[in-house]
Amino acid sequence: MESKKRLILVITFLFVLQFALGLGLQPRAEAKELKIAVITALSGAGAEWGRGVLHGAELAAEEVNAKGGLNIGGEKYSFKIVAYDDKYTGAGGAAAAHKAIYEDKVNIIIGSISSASVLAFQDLTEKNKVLVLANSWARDVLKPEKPYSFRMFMSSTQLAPGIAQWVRKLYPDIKTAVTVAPNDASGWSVAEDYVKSYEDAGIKVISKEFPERGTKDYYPMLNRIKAKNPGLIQDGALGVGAVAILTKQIRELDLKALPVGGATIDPDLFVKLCGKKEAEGFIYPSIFDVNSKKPIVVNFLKSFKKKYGEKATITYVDPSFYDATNLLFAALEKAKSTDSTKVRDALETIRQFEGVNGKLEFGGKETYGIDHQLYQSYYIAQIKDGRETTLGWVR
Amino acid sequence: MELIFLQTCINGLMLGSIYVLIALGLTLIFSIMGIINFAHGEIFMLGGFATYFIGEYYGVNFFLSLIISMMIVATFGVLIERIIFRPLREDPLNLLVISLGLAIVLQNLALIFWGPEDRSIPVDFQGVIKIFGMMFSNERLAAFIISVTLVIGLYLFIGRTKAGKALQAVAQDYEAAALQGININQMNALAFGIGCALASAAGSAMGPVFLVSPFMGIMPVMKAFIVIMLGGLGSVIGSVVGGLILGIAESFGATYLGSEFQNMVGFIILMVILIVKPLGLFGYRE
Repeated sequence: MESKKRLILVITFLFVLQFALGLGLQPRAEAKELKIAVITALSGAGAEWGRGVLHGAELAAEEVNAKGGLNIGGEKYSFKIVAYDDKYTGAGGAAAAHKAIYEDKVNIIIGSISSASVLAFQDLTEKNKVLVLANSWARDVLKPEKPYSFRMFMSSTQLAPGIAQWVRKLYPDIKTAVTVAPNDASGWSVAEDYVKSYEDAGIKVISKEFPERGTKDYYPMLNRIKAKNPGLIQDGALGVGAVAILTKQIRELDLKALPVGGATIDPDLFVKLCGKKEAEGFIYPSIFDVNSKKPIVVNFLKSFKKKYGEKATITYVDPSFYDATNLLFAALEKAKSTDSTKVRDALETIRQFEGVNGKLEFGGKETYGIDHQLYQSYYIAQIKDGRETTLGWVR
Repeated sequence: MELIFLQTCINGLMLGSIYVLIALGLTLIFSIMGIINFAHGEIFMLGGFATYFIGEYYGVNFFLSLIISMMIVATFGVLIERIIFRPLREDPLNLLVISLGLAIVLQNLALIFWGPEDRSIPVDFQGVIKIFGMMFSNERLAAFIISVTLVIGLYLFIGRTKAGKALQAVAQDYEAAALQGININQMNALAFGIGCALASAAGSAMGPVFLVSPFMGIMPVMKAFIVIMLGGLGSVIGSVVGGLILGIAESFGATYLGSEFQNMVGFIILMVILIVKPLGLFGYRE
């Protein structure tokens, strides 16, 4: 009797110990690894933004892995981010996607920011049902015929109307505009968006300029358009360095035009590159408030600086792709599967996702024929006395 | 209308003067060593970065930073010539490949260590000058003056100094020069060092105007190749004339035809000139 009681006690103790220590009678299953490809510009003209895609994805993946992985359909998954450099070119993108799909067997690609790259590899990804979470701005990236492609950041199609309306409101005397966009697929698409938005706002676009991406000497172009005396000069997402140089040269040549940015910039970097006096009055859209006190933003910045250093530059791409990757993880959990079709379907149903950039939701059917464009609120900012000032929100 | 025309001419001359400076370094290296140095754009980039770091972190005046960076990059050039190019001097194909590889390595190292972001070289002479209605930034004027000074300096060095005359002798016939007691290895190192110093000066001069980044050398070196083909391979006077022609042509092309034509114009002119004069404006058969 005594020995029986002892045996029951021992078994009970072991049972309780098992739960206390999280041990099972079965050996613990290792987390499976899911490879996610990141195709982005790590060198060349687009590296300024391209690195942000990788940073955002890496940070999000590391956080999930540190917590033991993600539960997908009852199995634990850790994530391996595999980076491919498309050099911001179509040929680079096609080669990267080919390797990712056929050699590394991925079925999810994060990136690219290059329209040329995404347009070059979309036939391949759509044919192979590979989910693509891109940021490229060319309109043709999203179509009903491309059901596996998503855009994870607002393009000029979404930003331009807000900018045009705010310019109209603040500067009612401005009647004419010139757009300056890079001579590539992104630039042509961006220019179209701004032409439409300004004309809807009652501002006539008198010239569309397409300098080669990487051009830094805008004197000849500005010399020519000076005679037309435009009310504003709209940047078509040239990049913070190029738009800083453009703004500086506008001031040097004594053009009276208001310089307007087409994408989020780092205001401190812009002022440093352009000059405090020259940067005065520059208006631009912004999606990421680096000074926000929201815990999600503070934590993101802390993780970013811990991994990449205190002096590392954050562009708008870093938090955007951090959010994009976390959205992907949410979709994987919801789908309970790594099958790209199921994940795609789950992604489409996610509503009001709380990210570093605020509440995120997919839409865009009226513009693209498919609800694969991510939307969020953004604000219009202006440089005043060398610092960013928020003018108002576009929701 | 006249004002636009004059401003376009002056803009073109200023831009052309920078092309001259980059191209002179390239043509000097080619005429002495017979090497087309594809890493010349990255040497230009290193010069820009050197001036940036010296000015930004040590607070040194821009012009002094430029001189110091010329010396640093020239020394680097001499080392590259000694370690990488000299052993392969008799193998031009391998030299070509090596210089291409060096360009990729230098660009990617700059990207790894310094990041892709643009940087502005600090100067204390920012501002704009207005002359007869035409506007010029002080930075562009400074770049123009630096270029003219160095071109004149090079001309005097080549024509009036013993080392310069030795370089000329090597360019004409290196075997005969060697027989005259000229140390070919030393002359090659000197040419490479001067070529790199000129590229460095061009990068430093461009930095305040167009910013500094790991990719800043890609376009200028392409322009430098157009200039030396236009002017004639190995011809110093050809590089000067070719650079100015290219700068002015680009300025007029972009001003009167459109921004998309800025780079196209240079190639069109090159094609036309090479059809008429296959060796370039001042090129010659050996």
